[in-house]
Amino acid sequence: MSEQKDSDLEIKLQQRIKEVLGKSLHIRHVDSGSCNACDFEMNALSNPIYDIQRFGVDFVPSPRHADMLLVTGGVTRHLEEAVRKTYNAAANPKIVLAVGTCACGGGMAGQTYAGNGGVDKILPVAVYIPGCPPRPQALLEGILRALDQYEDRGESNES
Amino acid sequence: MRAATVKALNLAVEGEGNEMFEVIRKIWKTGVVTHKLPLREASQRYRGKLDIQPHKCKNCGACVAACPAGAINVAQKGQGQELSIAYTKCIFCGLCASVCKVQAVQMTNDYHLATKNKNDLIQVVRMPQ
Repeated sequence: MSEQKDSDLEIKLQQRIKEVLGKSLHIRHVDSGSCNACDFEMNALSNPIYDIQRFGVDFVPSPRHADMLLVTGGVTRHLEEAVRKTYNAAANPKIVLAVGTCACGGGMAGQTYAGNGGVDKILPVAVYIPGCPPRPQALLEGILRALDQYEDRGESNES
Repeated sequence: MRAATVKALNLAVEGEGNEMFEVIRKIWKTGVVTHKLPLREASQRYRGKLDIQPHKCKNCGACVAACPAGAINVAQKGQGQELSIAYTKCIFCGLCASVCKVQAVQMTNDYHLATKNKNDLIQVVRMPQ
């Protein structure tokens, strides 16, 4: 990918956030039984190297403050209820991203008696980000893709 | 950075000026670490999307047997065979690429896999004959 295209993407992300959400995008991270690799990559987004806050994206400590849920892990039986409650607690319009191979479709564990095998079995997922774990750059790209359909989803949620 | 600043201040109090300047110069030399273009290409050794060349494949099935996640499947489709890779299962370990004797399966450094449609996560390659 050329450098020009890269900087275009970056400007596009910032513009989309301003357009769609007014000011900034707030993300709540939901761990639904992941191995923590995806969580570490997500933490890396806010370090000085990737510095996601310059785009107006922030991680918040409560789903009630969040516009977007980043769900990691394949939704185990114990955390199924927690994932549902978190989704219900988030304000509309909300959007769910499946982060990592496990959240996309079960991954190594798959669908078993103790695991649901993917977030899309429980919640409506907007964007799938595979990778074990996905790079912080891949997460950034996934957030950008999700914002493209943010407006449509907002309308459908309210009706 | 903060620890280094504290060290510089301590040295200043102790009156060791030269060492203090050394530490401050180190801080300045580090500069800005933020990537200006975060979506730039990954390093060549990064294991990303699989690249499969069907004309090289000998249908030995070594990659299917080696895959720890069961992400690679071979199915009979009409006359030929179809190899499908499910990125909903793949853990990007690179074992399929390492067991392939003819290098028909290779890992690329492409990490742009995020998609809205789950069907895009299954890569299908048609084998000749």
